[in-house]
Amino acid sequence: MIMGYKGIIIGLIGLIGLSSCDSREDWFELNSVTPDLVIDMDGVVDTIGRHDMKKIVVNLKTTSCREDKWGKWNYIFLTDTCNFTVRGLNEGGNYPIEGMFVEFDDFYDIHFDSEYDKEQNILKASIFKQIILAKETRLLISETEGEVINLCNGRIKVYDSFENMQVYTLEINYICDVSPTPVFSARKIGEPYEYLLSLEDSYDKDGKVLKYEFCIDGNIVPYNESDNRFERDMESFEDLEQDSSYYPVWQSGNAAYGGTYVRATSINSVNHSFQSSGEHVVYYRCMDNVGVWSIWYSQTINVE
Amino acid sequence: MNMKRVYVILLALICAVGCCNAQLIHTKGKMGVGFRGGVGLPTESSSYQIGYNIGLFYNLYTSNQLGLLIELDREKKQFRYSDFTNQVLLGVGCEYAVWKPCKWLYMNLDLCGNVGYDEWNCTVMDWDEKHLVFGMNGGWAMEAYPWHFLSFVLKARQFVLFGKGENYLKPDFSLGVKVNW
Repeated sequence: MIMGYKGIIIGLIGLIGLSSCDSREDWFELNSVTPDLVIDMDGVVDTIGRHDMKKIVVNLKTTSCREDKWGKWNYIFLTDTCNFTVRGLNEGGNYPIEGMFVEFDDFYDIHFDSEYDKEQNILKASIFKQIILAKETRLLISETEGEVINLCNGRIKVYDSFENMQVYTLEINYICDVSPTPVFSARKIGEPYEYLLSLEDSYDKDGKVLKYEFCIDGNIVPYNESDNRFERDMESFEDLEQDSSYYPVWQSGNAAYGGTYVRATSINSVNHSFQSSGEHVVYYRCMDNVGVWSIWYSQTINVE
Repeated sequence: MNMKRVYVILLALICAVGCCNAQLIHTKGKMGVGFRGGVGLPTESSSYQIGYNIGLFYNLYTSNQLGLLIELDREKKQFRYSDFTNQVLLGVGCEYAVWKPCKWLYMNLDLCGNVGYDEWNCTVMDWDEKHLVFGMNGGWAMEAYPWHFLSFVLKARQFVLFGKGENYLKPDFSLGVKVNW
Protein backbone atom coordinates (compact mmCIF):
# COMPACT_ATOMS: atom_id res chain seq x y z
CA MET A 1 0.00 0.00 0.00
CA ILE A 2 2.77 2.44 0.93
CA MET A 3 4.62 1.55 -2.19
CA GLY A 4 1.42 2.17 -4.11
CA TYR A 5 1.02 5.67 -2.75
CA LYS A 6 4.68 6.30 -3.49
CA GLY A 7 3.97 5.55 -7.09
CA ILE A 8 1.17 8.12 -7.16
CA ILE A 9 3.37 10.76 -5.61
CA ILE A 10 6.19 10.19 -8.06
CA GLY A 11 3.72 10.27 -10.88
CA LEU A 12 2.39 13.59 -9.67
CA ILE A 13 5.92 14.95 -9.50
CA GLY A 14 6.31 14.02 -13.11
CA LEU A 15 3.07 15.81 -13.89
CA ILE A 16 4.27 18.97 -12.20
CA GLY A 17 7.48 18.80 -14.22
CA LEU A 18 5.49 18.52 -17.39
CA SER A 19 3.42 21.55 -16.56
CA SER A 20 6.22 24.05 -17.10
CA CYS A 21 7.49 22.96 -20.48
CA ASP A 22 5.92 24.74 -23.40
CA SER A 23 8.78 26.28 -25.30
CA ARG A 24 6.91 27.41 -28.40
CA GLU A 25 7.32 30.98 -29.53
CA ASP A 26 5.44 32.90 -32.14
CA TRP A 27 6.85 31.81 -35.48
CA PHE A 28 6.71 35.24 -37.09
CA GLU A 29 8.14 37.04 -34.11
CA LEU A 30 10.99 34.58 -34.16
CA ASN A 31 11.60 34.67 -37.88
CA SER A 32 10.82 38.28 -38.77
CA VAL A 33 13.78 40.33 -39.86
CA THR A 34 14.52 43.97 -39.63
CA PRO A 35 12.33 45.44 -42.33
CA ASP A 36 13.42 47.45 -45.34
CA LEU A 37 11.61 50.59 -46.30
CA VAL A 38 10.13 50.63 -49.78
CA ILE A 39 9.94 54.17 -51.01
CA ASP A 40 8.19 55.83 -53.89
CA MET A 41 9.64 59.21 -54.61
CA ASP A 42 10.25 61.55 -57.41
CA GLY A 43 13.87 61.77 -58.23
CA VAL A 44 16.68 59.35 -57.75
CA VAL A 45 16.59 57.24 -54.69
CA ASP A 46 19.43 55.23 -53.29
CA THR A 47 19.12 53.07 -50.25
CA ILE A 48 22.48 52.19 -48.88
CA GLY A 49 22.72 49.54 -46.23
CA ARG A 50 25.68 48.79 -44.10
CA HIS A 51 25.25 46.60 -41.03
CA ASP A 52 22.53 48.29 -39.06
CA MET A 53 23.04 51.69 -40.59
CA LYS A 54 20.81 52.53 -43.49
CA LYS A 55 20.81 55.70 -45.50
CA ILE A 56 18.41 57.00 -48.05
CA VAL A 57 19.77 59.54 -50.49
CA VAL A 58 17.27 61.41 -52.58
CA ASN A 59 18.50 63.63 -55.36
CA LEU A 60 15.82 65.85 -56.79
CA LYS A 61 16.13 67.72 -60.05
CA THR A 62 15.04 71.26 -59.57
CA THR A 63 14.47 74.08 -61.97
CA SER A 64 14.43 76.85 -59.41
CA CYS A 65 18.12 76.76 -58.87
CA ARG A 66 19.72 79.56 -60.76
CA GLU A 67 22.67 81.74 -60.51
CA ASP A 68 21.71 85.29 -61.11
CA LYS A 69 23.78 88.37 -61.48
CA TRP A 70 22.02 91.35 -60.07
CA GLY A 71 24.28 94.12 -59.45
CA LYS A 72 26.90 92.83 -57.11
CA TRP A 73 24.81 90.01 -55.70
CA ASN A 74 24.98 86.34 -56.43
CA TYR A 75 22.08 84.49 -54.97
CA ILE A 76 20.13 81.33 -55.43
CA PHE A 77 16.65 80.52 -54.37
CA LEU A 78 15.63 76.94 -53.84
CA THR A 79 11.91 76.71 -53.44
CA ASP A 80 10.52 73.36 -54.13
CA THR A 81 8.66 70.48 -52.60
CA CYS A 82 8.93 66.76 -52.85
CA ASN A 83 6.60 63.95 -52.02
CA PHE A 84 7.97 61.23 -49.84
CA THR A 85 5.78 58.26 -50.36
CA VAL A 86 6.48 55.19 -48.28
CA ARG A 87 4.75 52.27 -49.90
CA GLY A 88 5.45 49.84 -47.12
CA LEU A 89 8.01 47.57 -45.64
CA ASN A 90 9.71 44.63 -47.22
CA GLU A 91 9.72 41.90 -44.61
CA GLY A 92 11.56 38.91 -45.95
CA GLY A 93 9.85 39.13 -49.28
CA ASN A 94 6.41 39.78 -47.85
CA TYR A 95 5.25 43.24 -48.73
CA PRO A 96 3.62 45.45 -47.71
CA ILE A 97 3.34 45.11 -44.00
CA GLU A 98 0.27 46.24 -42.22
CA GLY A 99 0.51 48.16 -39.04
CA MET A 100 3.71 49.92 -40.06
CA PHE A 101 4.57 52.99 -38.11
CA VAL A 102 6.95 55.63 -39.38
CA GLU A 103 8.40 58.32 -37.23
CA PHE A 104 10.24 61.27 -38.68
CA ASP A 105 12.83 62.44 -36.33
CA ASP A 106 15.50 65.08 -36.23
CA PHE A 107 14.44 67.12 -39.22
CA TYR A 108 15.53 70.65 -38.72
CA ASP A 109 15.09 73.85 -40.58
CA ILE A 110 12.39 72.50 -42.82
CA HIS A 111 8.66 72.37 -42.87
CA PHE A 112 7.38 68.83 -42.87
CA ASP A 113 3.86 67.53 -43.28
CA SER A 114 2.92 63.91 -43.17
CA GLU A 115 -0.21 61.99 -43.91
CA TYR A 116 -0.37 58.27 -43.32
CA ASP A 117 -2.95 56.31 -45.27
CA LYS A 118 -3.41 53.14 -43.25
CA GLU A 119 -5.51 51.34 -45.81
CA GLN A 120 -3.08 51.82 -48.63
CA ASN A 121 -0.05 51.78 -46.42
CA ILE A 122 1.31 54.96 -47.90
CA LEU A 123 2.95 57.80 -46.07
CA LYS A 124 2.97 61.06 -47.98
CA ALA A 125 5.14 63.87 -46.86
CA SER A 126 5.93 67.27 -48.27
CA ILE A 127 9.21 68.89 -47.58
CA PHE A 128 9.70 72.55 -48.23
CA LYS A 129 12.80 74.62 -47.84
CA GLN A 130 14.06 77.90 -49.09
CA ILE A 131 17.74 78.59 -49.21
CA ILE A 132 19.37 81.87 -49.94
CA LEU A 133 23.04 81.53 -50.50
CA ALA A 134 25.29 84.41 -49.76
CA LYS A 135 27.29 86.31 -52.29
CA GLU A 136 30.47 84.41 -51.66
CA THR A 137 28.82 81.08 -52.46
CA ARG A 138 28.97 80.43 -56.14
CA LEU A 139 27.07 77.79 -57.98
CA LEU A 140 29.32 75.70 -60.11
CA ILE A 141 27.78 73.95 -63.03
CA SER A 142 29.63 70.91 -64.21
CA GLU A 143 29.72 69.65 -67.74
CA THR A 144 26.82 67.27 -67.55
CA GLU A 145 25.23 67.84 -64.17
CA GLY A 146 24.42 70.76 -62.00
CA GLU A 147 25.71 71.21 -58.52
CA VAL A 148 24.27 68.96 -55.85
CA ILE A 149 23.07 71.11 -53.01
CA ASN A 150 22.21 69.40 -49.79
CA LEU A 151 18.73 70.39 -48.77
CA CYS A 152 18.07 68.64 -45.52
CA ASN A 153 19.07 65.73 -43.39
CA GLY A 154 17.07 63.78 -40.95
CA ARG A 155 16.32 60.44 -39.43
CA ILE A 156 13.44 58.09 -39.96
CA LYS A 157 12.50 55.37 -37.53
CA VAL A 158 10.35 52.62 -38.90
CA TYR A 159 8.54 50.08 -36.78
CA ASP A 160 6.92 47.00 -38.20
CA SER A 161 4.09 44.94 -36.81
CA PHE A 162 6.48 42.73 -34.88
CA GLU A 163 8.06 45.71 -33.10
CA ASN A 164 11.26 45.44 -35.09
CA MET A 165 12.77 48.86 -35.69
CA GLN A 166 14.97 50.15 -38.43
CA VAL A 167 16.60 53.55 -38.42
CA TYR A 168 17.31 55.37 -41.64
CA THR A 169 19.14 58.59 -42.17
CA LEU A 170 17.56 60.60 -44.91
CA GLU A 171 19.49 62.99 -47.10
CA ILE A 172 17.62 65.08 -49.60
CA ASN A 173 19.62 66.96 -52.19
CA TYR A 174 18.83 69.19 -55.08
CA ILE A 175 20.54 68.79 -58.39
CA CYS A 176 20.46 72.04 -60.24
CA ASP A 177 19.52 71.78 -63.84
CA VAL A 178 22.05 72.74 -66.47
CA SER A 179 20.49 75.27 -68.76
CA PRO A 180 20.54 74.50 -72.48
CA THR A 181 22.94 76.05 -74.96
CA PRO A 182 21.51 77.56 -78.14
CA VAL A 183 23.63 77.28 -81.28
CA PHE A 184 22.64 79.78 -83.94
CA SER A 185 23.11 79.80 -87.66
CA ALA A 186 21.74 81.99 -90.44
CA ARG A 187 21.74 81.65 -94.20
CA LYS A 188 20.07 83.36 -97.06
CA ILE A 189 17.33 81.37 -98.73
CA GLY A 190 15.57 83.88 -100.93
CA GLU A 191 15.45 87.37 -102.39
CA PRO A 192 15.66 90.08 -101.52
CA TYR A 193 16.42 89.59 -97.81
CA GLU A 194 14.92 86.26 -96.80
CA TYR A 195 16.97 84.32 -94.32
CA LEU A 196 16.66 81.02 -92.51
CA LEU A 197 17.44 81.53 -88.85
CA SER A 198 18.16 78.20 -87.20
CA LEU A 199 18.78 76.85 -83.70
CA GLU A 200 18.89 73.30 -84.94
CA ASP A 201 22.21 72.49 -83.32
CA SER A 202 21.20 73.63 -79.86
CA TYR A 203 21.77 71.15 -77.09
CA ASP A 204 21.18 70.50 -73.40
CA LYS A 205 23.86 68.69 -71.44
CA ASP A 206 21.51 67.05 -68.97
CA GLY A 207 18.37 66.75 -71.07
CA LYS A 208 16.98 67.89 -74.37
CA VAL A 209 15.88 71.14 -75.96
CA LEU A 210 12.15 71.58 -76.41
CA LYS A 211 11.42 75.23 -77.21
CA TYR A 212 13.07 78.10 -79.03
CA GLU A 213 12.65 81.87 -79.12
CA PHE A 214 13.85 84.54 -81.47
CA CYS A 215 13.78 88.30 -81.18
CA ILE A 216 14.71 89.95 -84.44
CA ASP A 217 15.56 93.60 -84.51
CA GLY A 218 13.95 94.03 -81.11
CA ASN A 219 15.06 94.31 -77.51
CA ILE A 220 15.33 91.78 -74.78
CA VAL A 221 14.71 92.30 -71.12
CA PRO A 222 18.22 92.84 -69.88
CA TYR A 223 17.67 90.61 -66.85
CA ASN A 224 18.60 87.73 -69.07
CA GLU A 225 21.57 89.21 -70.77
CA SER A 226 24.92 87.58 -70.47
CA ASP A 227 26.49 90.96 -69.93
CA ASN A 228 25.20 92.99 -67.09
CA ARG A 229 23.17 95.93 -68.31
CA PHE A 230 20.62 95.65 -65.55
CA GLU A 231 21.66 98.71 -63.67
CA ARG A 232 21.45 100.86 -66.78
CA ASP A 233 18.05 99.65 -67.90
CA MET A 234 16.34 98.93 -64.61
CA GLU A 235 14.19 102.04 -64.40
CA SER A 236 12.58 101.26 -67.74
CA PHE A 237 11.10 98.11 -66.40
CA GLU A 238 9.98 99.09 -62.94
CA ASP A 239 6.41 98.12 -63.61
CA LEU A 240 7.34 94.66 -64.81
CA GLU A 241 6.76 92.15 -62.04
CA GLN A 242 8.95 89.19 -61.36
CA ASP A 243 7.64 85.71 -61.09
CA SER A 244 6.41 85.05 -57.59
CA SER A 245 8.90 82.28 -57.13
CA TYR A 246 11.73 84.61 -57.97
CA TYR A 247 12.43 82.70 -61.10
CA PRO A 248 15.22 84.80 -62.51
CA VAL A 249 14.71 84.18 -66.20
CA TRP A 250 11.82 85.87 -67.88
CA GLN A 251 9.18 83.50 -69.14
CA SER A 252 8.07 83.36 -72.70
CA GLY A 253 6.16 86.41 -73.78
CA ASN A 254 7.80 88.75 -71.28
CA ALA A 255 11.38 88.25 -72.21
CA ALA A 256 11.60 90.62 -75.16
CA TYR A 257 9.78 93.43 -76.86
CA GLY A 258 9.77 95.23 -80.13
CA GLY A 259 10.90 93.88 -83.47
CA THR A 260 9.77 90.40 -84.37
CA TYR A 261 9.41 88.29 -81.25
CA VAL A 262 8.87 84.62 -82.01
CA ARG A 263 7.62 83.19 -78.75
CA ALA A 264 8.28 79.69 -77.45
CA THR A 265 8.08 77.56 -80.54
CA SER A 266 8.94 73.92 -80.86
CA ILE A 267 10.20 74.58 -84.37
CA ASN A 268 13.93 75.13 -84.27
CA SER A 269 14.16 77.48 -87.24
CA VAL A 270 12.26 80.41 -88.70
CA ASN A 271 12.16 82.02 -92.10
CA HIS A 272 12.43 85.78 -91.77
CA SER A 273 12.42 88.52 -94.41
CA PHE A 274 14.39 91.52 -93.35
CA GLN A 275 13.06 94.90 -94.44
CA SER A 276 16.42 96.29 -95.45
CA SER A 277 19.99 95.41 -95.92
CA GLY A 278 22.63 96.16 -93.36
CA GLU A 279 23.32 94.96 -89.86
CA HIS A 280 20.51 93.29 -87.96
CA VAL A 281 20.62 91.91 -84.43
CA VAL A 282 19.01 88.60 -83.72
CA TYR A 283 18.52 87.51 -80.12
CA TYR A 284 17.88 83.83 -79.45
CA ARG A 285 17.47 81.39 -76.61
CA CYS A 286 16.10 77.91 -75.95
CA MET A 287 14.38 75.92 -73.23
CA ASP A 288 15.12 72.39 -72.03
CA ASN A 289 12.83 69.57 -71.01
CA VAL A 290 12.51 70.71 -67.39
CA GLY A 291 11.46 74.23 -68.39
CA VAL A 292 14.72 76.03 -67.89
CA TRP A 293 15.46 78.78 -70.41
CA SER A 294 18.93 79.70 -71.41
CA ILE A 295 19.95 83.31 -71.25
CA TRP A 296 19.57 85.43 -74.38
CA TYR A 297 22.38 85.36 -76.87
CA SER A 298 22.74 87.66 -79.82
CA GLN A 299 24.29 87.67 -83.22
CA THR A 300 24.61 90.44 -85.69
CA ILE A 301 23.77 89.47 -89.26
CA ASN A 302 24.99 91.48 -92.18
CA VAL A 303 22.06 91.30 -94.60
CA GLU A 304 22.94 91.87 -98.20
CA MET B 1 13.96 23.57 -23.87
CA ASN B 2 14.96 23.10 -20.21
CA MET B 3 16.93 19.90 -20.28
CA LYS B 4 17.21 19.76 -16.55
CA ARG B 5 13.46 19.49 -16.20
CA VAL B 6 13.34 16.80 -18.83
CA TYR B 7 15.85 14.71 -16.90
CA VAL B 8 13.86 15.12 -13.68
CA ILE B 9 10.71 13.96 -15.42
CA LEU B 10 12.40 10.91 -16.88
CA LEU B 11 13.91 10.02 -13.52
CA ALA B 12 10.56 10.38 -11.79
CA LEU B 13 8.87 8.15 -14.33
CA ILE B 14 11.58 5.48 -14.05
CA CYS B 15 11.22 5.49 -10.26
CA ALA B 16 7.48 5.20 -10.57
CA VAL B 17 7.86 2.12 -12.74
CA GLY B 18 10.35 0.53 -10.38
CA CYS B 19 8.35 0.87 -7.21
CA CYS B 20 4.94 -0.22 -8.43
CA ASN B 21 3.38 -3.61 -8.32
CA ALA B 22 1.16 -4.12 -11.36
CA GLN B 23 -1.77 -6.52 -11.33
CA LEU B 24 -3.77 -5.97 -14.47
CA ILE B 25 -7.01 -7.10 -16.08
CA HIS B 26 -5.98 -6.09 -19.54
CA THR B 27 -5.59 -9.21 -21.61
CA LYS B 28 -4.22 -9.99 -24.96
CA GLY B 29 -6.56 -9.04 -27.76
CA LYS B 30 -8.54 -6.42 -25.87
CA MET B 31 -8.90 -3.13 -27.66
CA GLY B 32 -10.51 0.22 -27.21
CA VAL B 33 -11.22 3.46 -29.05
CA GLY B 34 -11.49 6.76 -27.33
CA PHE B 35 -11.96 10.48 -27.78
CA ARG B 36 -10.14 13.12 -25.75
CA GLY B 37 -10.23 16.83 -25.31
CA GLY B 38 -7.74 18.94 -23.51
CA VAL B 39 -5.80 22.14 -23.06
CA GLY B 40 -2.25 23.32 -23.31
CA LEU B 41 -0.35 25.76 -21.16
CA PRO B 42 -0.37 29.55 -21.12
CA THR B 43 2.92 31.11 -22.12
CA GLU B 44 4.22 34.62 -22.56
CA SER B 45 4.59 34.15 -26.31
CA SER B 46 0.95 33.19 -26.57
CA SER B 47 -0.13 36.15 -24.48
CA TYR B 48 -0.99 33.58 -21.83
CA GLN B 49 -3.70 31.94 -23.91
CA ILE B 50 -4.20 28.22 -23.33
CA GLY B 51 -5.52 26.90 -26.60
CA TYR B 52 -7.22 23.56 -26.95
CA ASN B 53 -6.61 20.15 -28.41
CA ILE B 54 -8.82 17.22 -29.38
CA GLY B 55 -7.96 13.74 -30.45
CA LEU B 56 -8.79 10.13 -31.04
CA PHE B 57 -6.85 7.22 -29.67
CA TYR B 58 -6.81 3.48 -30.12
CA ASN B 59 -5.47 0.74 -27.86
CA LEU B 60 -4.69 -2.86 -28.71
CA TYR B 61 -3.38 -4.87 -25.79
CA THR B 62 -0.80 -7.48 -26.68
CA SER B 63 -0.31 -8.71 -23.14
CA ASN B 64 -1.42 -7.97 -19.59
CA GLN B 65 0.75 -4.90 -19.38
CA LEU B 66 1.78 -3.89 -22.84
CA GLY B 67 -0.29 -2.60 -25.69
CA LEU B 68 -0.18 -0.73 -28.97
CA LEU B 69 -1.24 2.89 -28.87
CA ILE B 70 -2.24 4.99 -31.86
CA GLU B 71 -3.18 8.65 -31.39
CA LEU B 72 -4.51 11.30 -33.71
CA ASP B 73 -4.60 14.85 -32.38
CA ARG B 74 -5.36 18.37 -33.45
CA GLU B 75 -4.51 21.58 -31.64
CA LYS B 76 -5.32 25.24 -31.98
CA LYS B 77 -3.66 28.04 -30.11
CA GLN B 78 -3.36 31.79 -30.39
CA PHE B 79 0.04 33.45 -30.23
CA ARG B 80 0.99 37.09 -30.10
CA TYR B 81 1.09 37.64 -33.85
CA SER B 82 -0.34 34.45 -35.22
CA ASP B 83 -2.92 31.70 -35.10
CA PHE B 84 -1.30 28.33 -34.65
CA THR B 85 -2.98 25.15 -35.81
CA ASN B 86 -1.50 21.74 -35.55
CA GLN B 87 -3.69 20.32 -38.29
CA VAL B 88 -2.89 16.74 -37.50
CA LEU B 89 -0.45 14.91 -35.26
CA LEU B 90 -0.19 11.16 -35.61
CA GLY B 91 1.40 9.19 -32.82
CA VAL B 92 2.24 5.51 -32.85
CA GLY B 93 3.80 3.77 -29.90
CA CYS B 94 3.28 1.53 -26.96
CA GLU B 95 1.47 1.85 -23.68
CA TYR B 96 2.60 0.11 -20.53
CA ALA B 97 0.28 -0.38 -17.58
CA VAL B 98 2.68 0.03 -14.70
CA TRP B 99 0.36 -0.10 -11.74
CA LYS B 100 -3.12 -0.97 -10.69
CA PRO B 101 -3.80 0.57 -7.28
CA CYS B 102 -7.29 -0.87 -7.15
CA LYS B 103 -9.68 -3.00 -9.13
CA TRP B 104 -10.93 -0.20 -11.41
CA LEU B 105 -7.91 2.06 -11.71
CA TYR B 106 -4.80 1.84 -13.87
CA MET B 107 -1.75 3.99 -14.21
CA ASN B 108 -0.26 3.87 -17.68
CA LEU B 109 2.88 5.19 -19.24
CA ASP B 110 3.30 5.48 -22.97
CA LEU B 111 5.88 6.46 -25.52
CA CYS B 112 5.04 7.37 -29.12
CA GLY B 113 6.73 8.61 -32.23
CA ASN B 114 4.97 11.52 -33.93
CA VAL B 115 4.57 13.04 -37.33
CA GLY B 116 2.36 16.00 -37.96
CA TYR B 117 1.64 19.21 -39.84
CA ASP B 118 1.87 22.66 -38.29
CA GLU B 119 0.35 25.81 -39.70
CA TRP B 120 1.05 29.37 -38.57
CA ASN B 121 -1.12 32.20 -39.87
CA CYS B 122 0.10 35.69 -39.16
CA THR B 123 -2.63 37.95 -37.82
CA VAL B 124 -0.87 41.25 -38.48
CA MET B 125 0.05 40.78 -42.10
CA ASP B 126 -0.49 38.53 -45.05
CA TRP B 127 1.99 35.79 -44.18
CA ASP B 128 1.71 32.15 -43.30
CA GLU B 129 3.98 29.22 -42.64
CA LYS B 130 3.26 25.52 -43.03
CA HIS B 131 5.58 22.63 -42.47
CA LEU B 132 5.87 19.05 -41.29
CA VAL B 133 6.97 18.24 -37.79
CA PHE B 134 8.50 15.08 -36.38
CA GLY B 135 9.21 13.96 -32.89
CA MET B 136 8.03 11.91 -29.97
CA ASN B 137 5.99 12.19 -26.85
CA GLY B 138 5.80 10.59 -23.45
CA GLY B 139 2.56 10.31 -21.53
CA TRP B 140 1.31 9.54 -18.08
CA ALA B 141 -2.32 8.57 -17.64
CA MET B 142 -4.79 7.45 -15.02
CA GLU B 143 -7.50 5.21 -16.45
CA ALA B 144 -10.67 4.51 -14.51
CA TYR B 145 -13.09 1.69 -15.34
CA PRO B 146 -16.56 2.29 -13.93
CA TRP B 147 -17.70 -0.46 -16.28
CA HIS B 148 -15.67 -3.04 -18.16
CA PHE B 149 -16.68 -1.60 -21.52
CA LEU B 150 -16.10 2.04 -20.69
CA SER B 151 -13.18 3.86 -19.19
CA PHE B 152 -12.17 7.44 -18.50
CA VAL B 153 -8.61 8.53 -19.13
CA LEU B 154 -6.95 11.49 -17.50
CA LYS B 155 -3.71 12.08 -19.31
CA ALA B 156 -0.68 14.35 -19.33
CA ARG B 157 1.72 14.30 -22.26
CA GLN B 158 4.90 16.08 -23.19
CA PHE B 159 5.82 16.38 -26.85
CA VAL B 160 9.23 17.04 -28.29
CA LEU B 161 8.82 18.10 -31.90
CA PHE B 162 11.17 19.18 -34.66
CA GLY B 163 10.27 21.03 -37.82
CA LYS B 164 11.96 23.34 -40.34
CA GLY B 165 15.11 23.85 -38.38
CA GLU B 166 13.36 24.49 -35.10
CA ASN B 167 12.27 22.39 -32.17
CA TYR B 168 9.88 22.88 -29.33
CA LEU B 169 8.35 21.28 -26.27
CA LYS B 170 4.60 21.05 -26.03
CA PRO B 171 2.62 19.70 -23.09
CA ASP B 172 -1.05 18.91 -23.04
CA PHE B 173 -3.53 17.75 -20.48
CA SER B 174 -6.64 15.93 -21.52
CA LEU B 175 -9.64 14.00 -20.39
CA GLY B 176 -10.93 11.22 -22.58
CA VAL B 177 -13.55 8.50 -22.72
CA LYS B 178 -12.82 5.09 -24.21
CA VAL B 179 -15.01 2.27 -25.33
CA ASN B 180 -13.42 -1.14 -24.75
CA TRP B 181 -14.16 -4.58 -26.07
